[in-house]
Parts: sequence; C-alpha cells; structure tokens
Amino acid sequence: MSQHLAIYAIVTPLLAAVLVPIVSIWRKNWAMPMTGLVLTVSLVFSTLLVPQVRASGYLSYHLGSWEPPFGIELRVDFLGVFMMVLISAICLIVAVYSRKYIAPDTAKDGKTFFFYAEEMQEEKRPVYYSLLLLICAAMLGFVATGDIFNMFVFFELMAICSYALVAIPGTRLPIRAAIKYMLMAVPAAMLALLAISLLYSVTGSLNMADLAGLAGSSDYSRVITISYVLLIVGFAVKAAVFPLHIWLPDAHSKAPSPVSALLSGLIVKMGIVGIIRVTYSVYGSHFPSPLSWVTSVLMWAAAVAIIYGAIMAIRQNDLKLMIAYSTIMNLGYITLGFGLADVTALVGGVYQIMGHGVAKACLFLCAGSIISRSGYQKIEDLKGAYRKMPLTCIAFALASLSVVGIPPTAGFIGKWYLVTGSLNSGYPFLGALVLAGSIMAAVYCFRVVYYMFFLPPSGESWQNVSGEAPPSMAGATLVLAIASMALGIASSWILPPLRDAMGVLLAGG
Amino acid sequence: MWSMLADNINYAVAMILFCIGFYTVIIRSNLIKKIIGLMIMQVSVFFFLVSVGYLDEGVAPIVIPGAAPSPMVNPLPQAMILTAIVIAVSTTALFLSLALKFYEHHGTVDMDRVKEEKR
Amino acid sequence: MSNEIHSLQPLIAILLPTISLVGLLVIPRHRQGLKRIVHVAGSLATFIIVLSLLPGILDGKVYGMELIPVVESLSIHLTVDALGYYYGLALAFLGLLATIYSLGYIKHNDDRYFGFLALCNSFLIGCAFSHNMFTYFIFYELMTLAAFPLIIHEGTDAARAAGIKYLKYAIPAGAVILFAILMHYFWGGGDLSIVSLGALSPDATSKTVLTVIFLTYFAGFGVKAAIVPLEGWVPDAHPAAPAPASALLSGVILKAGAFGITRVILNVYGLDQFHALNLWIYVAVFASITIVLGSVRALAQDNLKRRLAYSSVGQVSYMLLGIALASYHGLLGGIMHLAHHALMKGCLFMCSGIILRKTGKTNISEMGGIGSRIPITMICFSICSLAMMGTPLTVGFISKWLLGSGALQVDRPVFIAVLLLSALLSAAYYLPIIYTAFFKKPETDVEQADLNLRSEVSHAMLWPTLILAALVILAGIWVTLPGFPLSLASIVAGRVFP
Repeated sequence: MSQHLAIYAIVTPLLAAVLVPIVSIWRKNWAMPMTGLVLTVSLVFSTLLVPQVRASGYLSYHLGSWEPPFGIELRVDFLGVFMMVLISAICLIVAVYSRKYIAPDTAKDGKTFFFYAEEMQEEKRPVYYSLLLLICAAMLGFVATGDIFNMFVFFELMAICSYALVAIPGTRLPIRAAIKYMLMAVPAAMLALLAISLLYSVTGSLNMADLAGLAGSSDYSRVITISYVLLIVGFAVKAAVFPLHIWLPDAHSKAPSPVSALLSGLIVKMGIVGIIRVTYSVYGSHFPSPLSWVTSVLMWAAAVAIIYGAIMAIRQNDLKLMIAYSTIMNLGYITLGFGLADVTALVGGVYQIMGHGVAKACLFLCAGSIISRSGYQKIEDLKGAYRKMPLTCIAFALASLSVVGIPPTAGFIGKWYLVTGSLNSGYPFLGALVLAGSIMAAVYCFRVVYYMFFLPPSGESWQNVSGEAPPSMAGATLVLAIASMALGIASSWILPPLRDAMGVLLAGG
Repeated sequence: MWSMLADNINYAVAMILFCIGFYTVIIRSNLIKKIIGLMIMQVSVFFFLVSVGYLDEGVAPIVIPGAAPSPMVNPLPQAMILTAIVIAVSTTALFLSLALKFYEHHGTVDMDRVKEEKR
Repeated sequence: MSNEIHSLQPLIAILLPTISLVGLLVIPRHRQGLKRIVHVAGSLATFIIVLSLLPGILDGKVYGMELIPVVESLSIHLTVDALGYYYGLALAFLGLLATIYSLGYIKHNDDRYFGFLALCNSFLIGCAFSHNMFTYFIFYELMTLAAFPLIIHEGTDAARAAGIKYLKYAIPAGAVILFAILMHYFWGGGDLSIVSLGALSPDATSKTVLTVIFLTYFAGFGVKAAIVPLEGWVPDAHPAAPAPASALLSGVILKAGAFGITRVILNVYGLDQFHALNLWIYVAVFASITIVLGSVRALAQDNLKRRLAYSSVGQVSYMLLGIALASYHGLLGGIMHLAHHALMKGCLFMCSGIILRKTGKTNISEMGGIGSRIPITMICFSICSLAMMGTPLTVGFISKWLLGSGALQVDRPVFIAVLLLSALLSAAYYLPIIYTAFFKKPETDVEQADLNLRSEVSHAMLWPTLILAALVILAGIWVTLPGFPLSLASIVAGRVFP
C-alpha cells in the first residue's frame, strides 16, 4: 500500500469528483462531507509521503509498471511533496468553508445572510464540489509527475476547472471575468503544448529526468531555447508575471470568495512551480548559460510587479480587488526568488509560496465572510467591523501580519531569505525593493485593519448585521491565520530539507 | 533554403495556422470568432505534433504477430494528440457555454459593443 | 555564549505580563476588582522575577536560554547580561508603576488598554533580554505595533492622527532596520549576536560597507530614539496618549531605539572600532543637534505634555552623546541616564496626568495657582524638574556631571558647551511651570487644599508619582547602592574599559 500512496493521493479526489454529482441525485447533503472526507484522505496520504521522500531524496513511481522513459513516471521530490501537503490542506479548508458559504439557507441560526453575487442554486452545488475535487487532483498530479506531457494534461485540467469555478455563479461579472481569463490562459496553454511538441520533436522523450540529459546534449540547441521560452511564457500567464497579469484582478475579485482563495492561494503558484520544475529539472544543464537571460528578464519583471501590485492595491477601494493586487505583488516576490538564481533566494521564494498561499487564502476567506454577512464590499464600509465580527477581523489581522512580513510570521521568513539571496547575488537594490514592498503592503493591509478595529462604524451601517460568520467559516479562517503564524515559528523544521532540495535542483538534479 | 522549407513544410504550415488563430483571438471582437480562432490555434499544434511522428514509408503502428518488421509511424504523438483533443474540446465547450451566458446577459456576442461595467 | 547560565527566568519574565492578558480575556466583565488585581499581580510578578536576577548580575554572571531556532544559524535566544538587565529592570519597574497608575487614570475601554499595555511590557522585556539582533527585531516590531492602540486610546481625532503619524514613521523605520540586519547578517558572517563583542570588523568587509550598515541601523533605530530629523512623531504621540502611556513612551519606548543603537555601538562594532571608523562623529553631531533643538522647541510649547515630549527628545540624545564620546565617564553617564531619565520623565508625565484629571488643564499658561490645589503633585513635579535641570542631590545631577566629565576626558570641550546650553534651556522651560503653579494667581478662585494625601487624588495615581519622585532624590544621594543604576552601569562600562 505504502508504495502507491502518491498515486492514491491523486486518484482519490479524481474518482470522488465523478461520484459526488451521482450521489447528490439521491442525497443532496452528502456532497460536502464526501468532499471533505476525500480531501482529508489526500492530505493524510501526502503527509505520509513526507518521511519517505526525506529518506530517499525523491520517490519514483511507475504508472502501470511501465518503465520510464516509455511509461509515465511520478517523481515526487521534496518540492513536490511540500506542495502536495500544502495543496491538499488548503483545498480541505476551502471545502469546509464552502459549506456554509454557498448554501446559506442551510444556516439554521436564522440570521440574515447575503450572498455576494447571487445565491448559488441547489443544482450547482454538487458541481461546485466536484470541480473542487478535480482541481485538487489536478494540482496534486501537476506537482507530483515526472512526465512533461502528463504535467501539461494536469495543468490543463486545473485550468479548465478554474475557468468553470470563476464562472459558476453565472451572473454578469463572473462571466466576463471568466471570459477574459480564458482568452489569455487558453492561448498560453497552446503555447505550452507547442513548446512540449518542439521539445519532443528534437529529443523523442517525454520523461523529465530523461529530457534533462537529452536536452543538454542535443544538437538542436536553438529549438531547445525556443521551446523553453514558449514554455515559460505559457506558465507565466498562469503565474500572472508582469505584464501577463491582466486577467488576475478581474478573475480573482469577481469569483466567489472560496474560489478566489484557491486561485490566489494555489493556482497561480502552480505557474511558478511549473517554471521552477521545467527550468531546473528539464533544462537544468543549459544553465547558467545560454538561458540565464530568461531568469534575468523574469527577475526584473518581478521587480516591476512588486511595485505595480503594491501601488494598485493601495489605490483600491474594493476589498477583493485590493487583495487581488496584493497577490500580484506577492507573486512578484516569488518570481524574484526564482529569477535571482540563487539557492537562498529560491528557498525564500518557495517559502513565500507556502506562506503567502496560506495568508492569501485566509484574507480571501475573511473577505468572503464579511461580504456574505454584511453585503459590504468597499473598504470604507468596513469601519467598526470588529464589534460584530471579531473572529474574522482577528484572522484578517493575523494574515495581514504575514503579508506585510512582521516577524515571526511565515511571510517574514520568506522575505528574510529573499533579501539575503538578493545580497548574495549582488543585487542589494532588489533587497531594498523587497523591504519597500513590505512598507507598501503595510499601508494597504493596515488601513483595512485600522478601519476594522479602531474606527467606529459610520452611521447605521453595521446595525443590521446579525453577527459573526458561522463556525465552519470563521473556524476555517482562524485555522489559516494561526497556520501562517505557526509556519513562521516552525520554519526551522521545514527549511533545512527545503534548502537541500533547492540546492539539488540548482545543481541540475 | 527552399528545400529546407519543403522538408519542414509541416513546421511552416503549423506556425502559419497558429499565427492566424492567434491573430483572430486578439483582433476579432466577436466572441464566436475568438473561439474559432482558439480552435485554429489548437488544431495547428495538434497537426504539428502528429506530423512530427510521421514517417514517409511508415505503416500504421499495429504489431501483427508473424509479419516482417517495417518502419512504423510513431504512435506516441498520436496518443498525445488524442488527449490534447479531449482537453481542447472541453475547453471549447466551456468557452461556448460562457459565450451563451454572455449573450443572455448582454444580448450580443460582440465584446466591443458592451461597455465595461463599473461596480 | 560560553559562560551563559541556562535559566528559565528571562522567559518567565517575558511571559508574565501576557498571563495577565489571558486573565483579562477570561474574567467576565463585571468583576472589575478581580481584573485590577490580575493587572497589578502580573506586573508585580514580572518585577519580582526580574529583580531576582539582580544578585547574579551584580556578580557578573550572565543568564540566558536559547529558544527555538528559526532561520538557520539564527534562533530566538534570550540573554540577560548587565546592560540588558539594567534596561529590563527599568522596564519592569516603570511598567509596574505605570500599570498601577493606569488603574486610577484610565476611565473607559479598559480591556483593550490594559491588554496592549501588558503586551507592550512583554515585548519590551523581550527586547531587553535579546541575545541577537534577530530576536531584538522580532520583539521590537511587535512592541511597535502593540504601542499603537495605547497612543490612540483616547479616541479623539488628534489621538488618531497622532497614532497614524506614529505608524508612518515606525513601520518604514522597521523595514530600514531589517535591511540593516540583513546586511549585517550577510557581511558579518551570519552572527547577529549583540551580547558578544565585535562581530563586524574590517576583516569581514570594507569600511564603506561597515559605515553604510551603521548608518542604516542609526537611521532605523533613530526614529524610535527621536533623533532629529526623525523625531516628528514624538511631539504628537506623547500629548495624545494617556498619561501613563506617555510616561512609558518617554521613559522606556524611546529608550528601545537608543538601546538598539547602544547595542550596535558597544557590541556589534565595539567601541574601539566605532572610533576607528569615525562613526562616532555622526552620532555625536546628530545627538548634539537633537539636544539643542529639542530644548529650543520645548521653550515654545504651551501644552505641558508637548513641552515634556520635546524635552524627552533632547534627553534621549544625552544617552547617545555619552556613549559616542567613548570615555569611561561618558559611557557611565550615558547608560545611567537611561534609567535616570525614565524616573524623572515618568514622574513628570504622571504629574501631568494628575493635573489633567484634577484641574482639566493642559496648557501651562492656564495652570496658575494649581500648586495650592494639588500641592503634593506639584512638589513632585518640582523635584523632578529640578532634577532634569541637573540640581545636585538628584539623579539628574549625577548623569550630567558624568557626561561633562566624560567630554573632558576625551578632550572635547565643545560638547560641554552643548550640555551647558541644554541645561540653561531646561531651566528656562521648567522653572516657569513651577513658578506658574505656585506663585501665579489662579484664574478662578479655588479652595485651598490641605496637605492631606487622601483628598488630593486617588491613591492609584498618587503613590507611583511619589515613589518615582522619592527615587529621584534617593538614587541621587545613595548612588552606589546595589541595584541602582551606577552598580549596573559600572559593570557594563567595566567590560568596555577593562
């Protein structure tokens, strides 16, 4: 059993995604518990994989017992298992949160409850959970696979589910946002497929470990370069690297809040993980030259993204738009970690993936709680929110600490490594930029916290709000907020294996 | 140079189709035309990949016991393309349903005619 | 540190105030009496624990405990050496008195105030007991955030504006400090210790880099230490905050910045290197400018708390000047002034709080004749004002004398001129207050109060004021008592000038 853990972790949500709509025909209320159960199983399996990967460096699993490079291989290294645990954990929390969010009429406490766009009709709910399971399976498969076409398939599965999840409310704004998203992301996916085809045409193999050797010794180095660039561009659209980020503010702010949490917290990170995986596992032997100019370009794009995201976030009056621009800023951090091509910076970037994923998911879920209870989406309407919704506001404040980078949260650790890495690679200016970004993040995050905690409500605005979000929603946000703090304090357990893994990656492993 | 082009005609055709599709997606404001553009892009990539596996004298890649071994067309790209076609069809179906919803909301499929809504 | 004695006490000292915080959350709203007891018990217990370390420190021992490793090669590590203990003792003492005083002063929204007061105390003691810059930074940033609700406590527009101004200064300052720490980490070989001597040295990196790192630290900590031109938040925050919070702000929170700079000078760079790199010029010049400007601007203020705030701006720089002068007496004077000023200014702010509560007056020009209404308070005020001016038999005289002697020891009489000028200016802005209080006619007729402790003002507010005023005199006369500033400061100075 234990040797099949990886594939079970991926396949279980996949199967459940098919079963959930079928079961819901007879028992409507079983959709969410099934989802929660399956995601817990995935989480447990992913966690059980950790010691195995720690012991042997990476796990290799051959699907159908076909030997690579002919068969599809699952190759789980530390980065992979790290992401698997993160993915299943956040998906589980979002699923728990979604229960009351999308089905407010099941809230039996009789309190008033607004839904942000329109109530999600009953027939859509099993579809929602099914999509949630599919997207979790897709992400798990994406980080675990060792075959480049398999990676593309999971990437596309993840993308399609995300388009559908953004559009699921069916009203004007989500549909427009989803269309805009698709118009940018589908061509990008085609670019990625084209790149994979080019790569295959000159090397004849699809297995990433195999490709690392073949790509290095190939005669067609121009083709390899072109395919690399295309692949990076394809992933970069998903990762919202400046200037390909245009779809992000609309999609993340108009989607339902748990979907926004998933999008900002996990899916955009998959783009960067894809870039990292492809760069080091496939094209690694080409570094530092002749492809190092790509990392430099990404590095400067990331610097611009940090400033742009921060400035736009400060200018926003809509809560979810502000959080979406904050995502662009933090993605800039993560891309900077990659672009600096230094072990320390890469560790910082990957740690930010985890820390920001948790914190951003928490922020979006808190926004969802506030919007669904009060109907208020503008920041200026949030004055005095603490009196009515204390738990949600506390969770928001804790998650903001991580986004700003106040010690001892996870965000601080990520920034520490990023700045150290930038000093290490001789770009102290970029280190100062990271810290300047922190200051700007403090401006927009603490403004909201200040409004929530320290200002009285304007007029009658919060009189009709009946109270705190339901326990599953408030509990989910608090768990994430505490996790963002705990991940900072517990970093000494996570960092050494991460550092080793990044070192192996950078050496062309 | 022309012989190089003739040898690699599949590359050239695929790229031209890809560019036509990409152009359509960007320039045309009608949603249905954009979707068609996307489909052209997808088809171009599929075509390219299958053509990479093609051998001039190759036969269909089915092993018949007892037959003499002969060069076969590479089946791997064909398997890849089947998967990719499934993905492309799902994407197109989703996009079409979004376009339908768009039409329901706005009464037109032309994106330029609909002003950007301010919330 | 090899000679560090493993001890749980620093950690307990940090945690104790937060336990009172927990008590706050748990005890139901109507049991006010129980809550008050919990507050006082928390700060009293903290003080006692810190005090219990005194014999060992006086013996020269060092206590410490390594907590969790966070980033590789760095951990949250607590150490109590002489300098840290000195600051910690002042913190615990002033925190205790401020808590007791607050019981009488704070009228509304208690829970939030006392909760953040306890957190502030916790984090400040954490700062004092830090082994490395990493730990120091964590507690420093958390303390900065925890002080914010204290500043805006009154809830007026002015208070909110002052709080936001504070954040506008403090948060970028935090980022600047972090950058300095990261440069220090990178070029200092990963050792951020502020307890051992001289991790940064010319063999590690070039002089330019060393200077840049120091100036970055100076700028970052200088915001908290109210060095001109970064002191803009101080004159707004101190009047806006309630009196006990102002006492803490002036007495210990400003000192957190100065303490950081002191650690950087004495421990990260080492005094010799500090002079060799000519960095002392920057500190001495900025400190002198601040001293003079602070005193000059204090003259122009009519609002009592604003005048006291500007006075604090100048006084904290006394400390930095003393350390920059690199003489035995200068160092001694500078370090002792940390606690001396805390005592004096703390008492002054507490008096201003009593004046506000009893007479409703905030401006000096209106305070005519209040000396007859609240005589005891104004006597304490006078004692501390005289101490601030440097009158013999008070602690103020001790620090000023040592600083002057220190300036002479290194043959730089220009700084004596600065000190004298500032003393003159202090007289100019403190004496009129005393004169107005006692010798001016009040605007309206007020009844004569008798010298009766009970009728003046509540016990909670009166006793801390009295204790501080008494200490100002006692520590000025019996200077060499163990536990008083000199005993501890001389251990510190003894390490630097063996």
